[in-house]
Amino acid sequence: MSLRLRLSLALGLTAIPVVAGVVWVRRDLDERAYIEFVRGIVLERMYQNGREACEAYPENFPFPRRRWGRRGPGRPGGTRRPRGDDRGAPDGEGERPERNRLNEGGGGTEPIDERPPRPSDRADPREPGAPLENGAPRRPREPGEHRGHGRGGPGNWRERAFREGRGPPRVLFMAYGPDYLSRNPRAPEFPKAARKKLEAGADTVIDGVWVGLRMSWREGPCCVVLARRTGDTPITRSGDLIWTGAAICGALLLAVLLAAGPIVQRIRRLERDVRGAAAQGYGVAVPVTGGDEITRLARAFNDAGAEVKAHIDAVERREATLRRFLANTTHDVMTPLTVLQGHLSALPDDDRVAAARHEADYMSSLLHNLSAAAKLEAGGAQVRRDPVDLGELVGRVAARHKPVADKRGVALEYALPGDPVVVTGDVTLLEQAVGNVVHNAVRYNREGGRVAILLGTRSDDRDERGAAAAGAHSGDFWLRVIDDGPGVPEDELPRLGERRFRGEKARTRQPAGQGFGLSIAREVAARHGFELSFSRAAEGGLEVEFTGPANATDPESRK
Amino acid sequence: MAVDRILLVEDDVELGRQIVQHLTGAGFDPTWIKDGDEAMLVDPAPYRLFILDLMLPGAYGLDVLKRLRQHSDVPVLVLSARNDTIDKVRALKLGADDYVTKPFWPDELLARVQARLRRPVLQREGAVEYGPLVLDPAARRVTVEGDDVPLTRVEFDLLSALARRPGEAITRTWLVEHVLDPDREGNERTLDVHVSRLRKKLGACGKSVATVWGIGYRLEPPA
Repeated sequence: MSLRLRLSLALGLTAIPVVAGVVWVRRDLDERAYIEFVRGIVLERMYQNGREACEAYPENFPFPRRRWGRRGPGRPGGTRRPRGDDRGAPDGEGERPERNRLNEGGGGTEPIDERPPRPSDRADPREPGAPLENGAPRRPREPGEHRGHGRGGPGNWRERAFREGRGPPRVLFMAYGPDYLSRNPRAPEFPKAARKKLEAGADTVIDGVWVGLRMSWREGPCCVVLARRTGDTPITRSGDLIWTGAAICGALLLAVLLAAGPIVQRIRRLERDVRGAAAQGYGVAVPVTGGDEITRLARAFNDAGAEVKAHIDAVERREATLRRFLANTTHDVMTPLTVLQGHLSALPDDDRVAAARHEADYMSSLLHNLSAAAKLEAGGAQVRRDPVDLGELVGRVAARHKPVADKRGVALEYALPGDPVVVTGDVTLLEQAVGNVVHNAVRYNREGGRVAILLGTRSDDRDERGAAAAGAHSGDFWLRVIDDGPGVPEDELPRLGERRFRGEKARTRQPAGQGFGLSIAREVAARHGFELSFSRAAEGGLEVEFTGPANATDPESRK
Repeated sequence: MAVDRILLVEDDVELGRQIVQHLTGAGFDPTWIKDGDEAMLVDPAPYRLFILDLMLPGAYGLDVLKRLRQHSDVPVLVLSARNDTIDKVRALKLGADDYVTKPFWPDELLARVQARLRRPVLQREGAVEYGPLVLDPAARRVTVEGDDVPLTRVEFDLLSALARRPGEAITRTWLVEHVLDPDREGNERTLDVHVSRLRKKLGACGKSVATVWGIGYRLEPPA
């Protein structure tokens, strides 16, 4: 995941709970304020004279306040207060028309308390006879009510006022008895959830827009009030909040994406620079610009690069020293070893001399193979690419191993094509590779055994072998070493010369030459792009064949 | 045949002494110089071959070689103790004819020396002699101890092919391709039949046509 995306996602994801929390707090505050608002109005109303009115006429409660106001506290309801839930309430027949009219005018069942529709209304003189207004000086009375009725119903007025945005919200409420049933047949059913909470002991509950209130008195038909505000409730709707939250998250995401852009670009440039520096062996420093953390990162990289460079240099110096040391040591050993071999070859043949010759031969081959291994491991620069005449090489290899083969009673012969075969490569390594194969062929042969080295090119080789090597180019050479020794079991052929000259096994002495020498041969062949294959010779023993591209023969280049 | 004089430039006393011994034993007349600076001044004319150790005190072996090549074509055999390819390549480029890497067996050195000194095969269209065997390519005539040996065309071509590279093994494949009549279906078995007939006709010299295991045939140099 890219840095930018990760940052954006992280910030966006963090924003979600934060926004959710804000939304929740906001909702809670809204709700509290709403409850307080509704509760205040309801309590005020009920304590002023609502209770009396309600208990007097529970079926009709709440009456238009105006009625209450006119009748005053001396209404019959006052006498019935102790037990207001009796069903004989509808004795106030005179009120029915009023209520009906109100209902028709209001277009609904909702009882009302009204707040002043306009601030200017506050200036209106209070109606002295309206008990509702008593003790509520902050809440101006509602002269509009009269006007509203006069003009065809308070509902019309109310709705109009609300629609036009002139009027503040009003509270509608309904009274219920202790059993949460209203005597007023038009009252809605008390919400069950709210009822449960009230029964559980709460004084004020909210259920959606409805606020349920328990009065301080516990009995009568009006001890519980269900109230709501008209019009839109002030509680912010969840949907709006979620949209707001989503918008905030989106904005954050976008902001991070934009803000991270330059950072990401700088990091990318730094990456490019670092890669460039690494490609050049840390020899160059990364350009350092700016003054932020990325700059410090670049500086830190330069420091690390310098250390790596120093380390590499030290290692290279050490390797060069080691190589020189090995070369010098090898050289110093080679001359006395030659002398030793000279003496050994001059001694009369017997078992001990033969064994000593064998050891000397082994040491010589080991030294050369160690040098070759060191060269191969040192890598490309040490492996040269010069024209190498394979014919001369085969002659040298045969001459080198003939003395040993003669002593062992193994016939070693070679055949070259009439024309020189020239390849490109490192003559020392190639000679060592072919030499190792010949060495093995001689060494693992029995007395009276035979070894032959054959060199040819594809154009010389139109016999069955050439057909078998279909796909090879006509310019390819082949160099074959065959013997009539015991050979190697078919299933072990592919494992011959496996790369293991770094392994411990390669260092074990028996079968000393074989593992080490053949693995070097294979490595050298691979390094030159030659094929090295092992198979059973038609003559019975092992056949080892190098194949590869030969250079175009140029007689002029030959001495 | 005059004894071939060989100049040995070798700084290591033990090795020098030994090489001198072996060269003498092999019938050569070696002269040994231990120091490179001295080798610089030597007149190469009397020598048929130089054996030059590349690691010399004083003048570096390659400098000796360079100097030598300015006025002499004498064959140079380089002794190299180093496994550095660059030294060998440089030596070959400077005109060395061959090299032998230390450690070597005396026989190996002698083989290289002899290979360098082998007299070139007479390629002119005159008779070629291998002891009692004389081959006249122009007349397509072969004699053994003066007696004519009647050979078929294939038998004669076979013998002269081997004689062109005496001492070298020639593969059956090559002989089948270059000697047998291309119009007739020939294979290695046919070749073997021709060789055995040739040997019979050559009589005492028949052994000169030697079978080389895994390769083919070779005309052995006269003993």
